[in-house]
Amino acid sequence: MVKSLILVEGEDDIKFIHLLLAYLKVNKKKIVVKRLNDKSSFFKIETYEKKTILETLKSGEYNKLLFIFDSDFEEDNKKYGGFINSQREIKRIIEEIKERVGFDFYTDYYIMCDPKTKNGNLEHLIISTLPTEKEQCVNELLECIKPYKNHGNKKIVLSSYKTIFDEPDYNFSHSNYGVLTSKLILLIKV
Amino acid sequence: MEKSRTLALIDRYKKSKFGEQFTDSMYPIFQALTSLKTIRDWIDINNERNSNRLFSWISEIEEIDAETGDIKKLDRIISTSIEAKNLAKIINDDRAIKEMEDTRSFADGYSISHRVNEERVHNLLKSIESRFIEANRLSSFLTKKSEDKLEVIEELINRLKSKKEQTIFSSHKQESETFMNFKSKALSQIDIVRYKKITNLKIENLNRINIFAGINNSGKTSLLEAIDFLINQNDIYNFLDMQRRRGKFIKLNSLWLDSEFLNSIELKGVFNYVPISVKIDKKREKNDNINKDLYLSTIEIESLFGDDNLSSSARLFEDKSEKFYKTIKIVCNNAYSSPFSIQNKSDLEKHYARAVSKNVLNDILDFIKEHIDNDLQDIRFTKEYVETFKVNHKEFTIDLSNFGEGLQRVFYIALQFASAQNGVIFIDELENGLHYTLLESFTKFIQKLAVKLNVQVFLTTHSKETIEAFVSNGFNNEDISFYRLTQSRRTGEINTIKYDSSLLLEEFRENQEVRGW
Repeated sequence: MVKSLILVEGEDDIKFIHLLLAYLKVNKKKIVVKRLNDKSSFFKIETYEKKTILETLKSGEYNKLLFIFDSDFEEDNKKYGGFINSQREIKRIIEEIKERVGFDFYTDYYIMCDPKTKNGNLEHLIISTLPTEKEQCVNELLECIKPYKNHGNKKIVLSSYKTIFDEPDYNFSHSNYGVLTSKLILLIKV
Repeated sequence: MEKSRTLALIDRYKKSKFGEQFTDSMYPIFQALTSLKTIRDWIDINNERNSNRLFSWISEIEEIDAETGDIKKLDRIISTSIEAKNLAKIINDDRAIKEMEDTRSFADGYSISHRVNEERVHNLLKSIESRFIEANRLSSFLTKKSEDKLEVIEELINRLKSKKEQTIFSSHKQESETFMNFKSKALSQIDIVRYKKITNLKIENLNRINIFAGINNSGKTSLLEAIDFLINQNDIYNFLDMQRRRGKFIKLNSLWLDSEFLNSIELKGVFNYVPISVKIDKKREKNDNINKDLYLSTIEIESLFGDDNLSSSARLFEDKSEKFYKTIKIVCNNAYSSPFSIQNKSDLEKHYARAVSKNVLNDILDFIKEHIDNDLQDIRFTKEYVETFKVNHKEFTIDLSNFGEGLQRVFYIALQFASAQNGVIFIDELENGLHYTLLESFTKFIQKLAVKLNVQVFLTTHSKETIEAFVSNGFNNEDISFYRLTQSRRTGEINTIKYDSSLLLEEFRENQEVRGW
């Protein structure tokens, strides 16, 4: 059986993607989700060598590859931060991977961010799917804690909102998940 | 006179650097040594040098491990008066003595001695003679079937009497010589140019423990067989026996082998920095001396170890096969364990004898007692009525075959490590018959045996639990390499994807599938 490979950054991303795949009723046997641990790993060819991804692609065990990672902020990282830098780098590494593998195959990418600002990460995407007033509430809190520069607070805010507002885990039917959802569906189409 | 010779030798021993090891229980050994003129003469030839050499054989010695720098204690080579007496048979055989010293095993040296094997052949012929005398008494009962047998025996006798230099026909395999009788770096690289559906597969930087996994029919067992042929060089018996096992025959069927051997085999590798190779081919000879009626074809093996080029062949006839070789030499000691083939009892006896002489039998029994059956006291090879293993259990003595397949498998695999000392062992489907709860302890035991006896391990598995057990048992993870065999969907070529132990652990933590799909 040939499988599709989804590469994500961290543990939270893996959990999120698995929940989304379950929501889409995708056959999980056809998909492998692996984490690369940090964003910069996505853009280094050594990552794909060390994790045997290149060899598995060459053998044809994977025939499709989807990259999912955070946009982050350009001001935090001049090379990889922000939507435009991320897009440029992922296109570059995709070309390098295909050259190393020796043949063309299906690839795609999705950059996690706030759809309006194109900045941020998975948490920003999730917050953007909250009802307007709740989204506003969370954003004001995030703005409030900005000077403390503790990025961990974003996760605390995210998990708090579920308890405070009694929200279900994720509203996958929201239009802001549309692009990601269609990319995942395309992945499992023969 | 004899007593004073014994005491004099003991006195010299006590004054030697091994002197502190003397105990009264060693007296019979000294008595045996001094009772034999051959040994006394040998000592006298070069008094001090040979005496010290002899003393090193009857003493424990220390050796520094070249890889770890640890000091290791090596057991006595000669520890009984029987061994001391038998030493006289091989003391002037330099090759046998060298083998004995290199392996620190009296049994190994004894088994390759010319004189011992000459005696063996002579005793076999004596036993055949007495059986012929008995058969003659019953000649009135000869049937057509028996007469056919007589023709075969006549042919065997003629060939035995033949004084041709180029071909040596043997119906009994002699002990193979090995190129590598000392601790070595082992097999570092293999290149399967062509074997069955594997072509141009190169695997470099092999480790002490090499695990191969993959989906069914991915070529795991074929890979194991290919490495086995490479190590066994021109050993035609080994090749034919592997075919017998593959075909699941009790006795090899030549017609089957002739029809199944379709493509030539070419294998290369590097063993302790020495390039090695094997080519196996089939041809039809045009020799007029061959009985064409039943002749099928000839299997030829050409092997290369550095500059040492050897060959052997087997002529296949419908009812038999004839083997030809000048000498058989293999790269190193080796053993093959498969759950799908019946073990030859004489091979098992050899493995058992070596396990005893290399002091691993107790380790094996301790493992079985601790992890499988703590009422088991001992397992011994006996030849009372039939050659078999008898188990002394707490309340009974019974044949090993009455115990579970798992216990038997553990026992047989562990025994074979002794025969593979300073060499390689091949284990097909390690997990077969074993409960998952045993895997972590058994894989650790295997790794310890591999270190103790300096054995390189090649094994196949379907089981994720087995692979996990090797890394999670925590023993020398840097010694483990894991390979997944894959067949390219585009080219059909078989390749391997290598994982070291740290990547394996990472994959298991993330619940990833490493065995292929």
